[in-house]
Amino acid sequence: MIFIAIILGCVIGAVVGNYAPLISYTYSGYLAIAIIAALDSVFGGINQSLQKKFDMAIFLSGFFGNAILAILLAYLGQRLNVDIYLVAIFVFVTRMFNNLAGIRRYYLEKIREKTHKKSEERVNSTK
Amino acid sequence: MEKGKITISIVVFFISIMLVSLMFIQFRTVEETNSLGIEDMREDELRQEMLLWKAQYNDVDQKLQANKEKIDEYTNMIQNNQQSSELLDKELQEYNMLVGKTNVMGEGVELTLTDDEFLSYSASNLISLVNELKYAGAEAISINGQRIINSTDIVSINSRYILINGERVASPYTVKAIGNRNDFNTILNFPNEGYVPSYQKRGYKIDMSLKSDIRIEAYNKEITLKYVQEKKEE
Repeated sequence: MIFIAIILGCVIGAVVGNYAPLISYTYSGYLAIAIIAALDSVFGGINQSLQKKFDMAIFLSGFFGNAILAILLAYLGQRLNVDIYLVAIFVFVTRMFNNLAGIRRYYLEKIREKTHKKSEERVNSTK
Repeated sequence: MEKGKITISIVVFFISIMLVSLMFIQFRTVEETNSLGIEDMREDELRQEMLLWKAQYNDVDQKLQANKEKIDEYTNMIQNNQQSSELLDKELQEYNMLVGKTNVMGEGVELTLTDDEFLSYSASNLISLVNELKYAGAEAISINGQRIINSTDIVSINSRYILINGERVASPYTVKAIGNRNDFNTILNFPNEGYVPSYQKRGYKIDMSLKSDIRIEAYNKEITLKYVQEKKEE
């Protein structure tokens, strides 16, 4: 059910995004950072749900909070003439890789367990 | 348990809508702004572009200057040409005047030589008068409207008629000359020896009057050279 919701949401989101009005180039940098932050939250959420530690409140607050914080930091960086958004992107992408590594490990272990079980079954049946 | 899953699904649904739509908006924005709109460019891009245009401007400016200089040169040349052609025109006019192909006027002397029953003027008399006038500095001479030029012939046919420029002329001969009046006066009226007194003494009828405006007609025939050629220096 969750997967159906995700796929449906992606499709509708693509359609809406295709027909929504464009934003000006000056703000598109902030939007890009917000998207990175949101993606980070999404991967984090997936990782947590796989580890049965998923918390809706944490996920939602991270999703919006990180995005808004990233935008504010980027804005501040521009006012200070320091490229803070680069650091924000660095942090979010690092965390994204960490989360992806967690997801990968989870599925790898699952596959290993399955193959182990199968081989055990074979051993049992041959006995 | 089921209720929690439903709320999670709804939240995930909306969040994925938001995220994906934002991503697509961003994709399109980036794609659109790749088409080099100046108001969408970053500062360093603008700087580079400006430098490029500046260099091009300098280039074109230099070319413009070079072209301007060339134009100046050409106008100078045209002016020079005009000047030289004006000079040539002037020279041509002078030569025409000198040769006798133009009507001329100026101060000078008018002599009237009249034959009578006993004494008539011969061609040699007129030739010596012309000679005297030339000696006195005459710049243009005519006899009865016939301009005396370089190739003019003065020949007697008989005692009554004289050929000048191939035209028959007869008494009274009106000789006009343009030149310095004083010179004419002193030379022609030189006591005893001058042309006028010496002829008057011999009984010829001759009148002389100095005038401030003598008009002399142009030589009205073609001046052609058939045999003479310029010898070029080598």
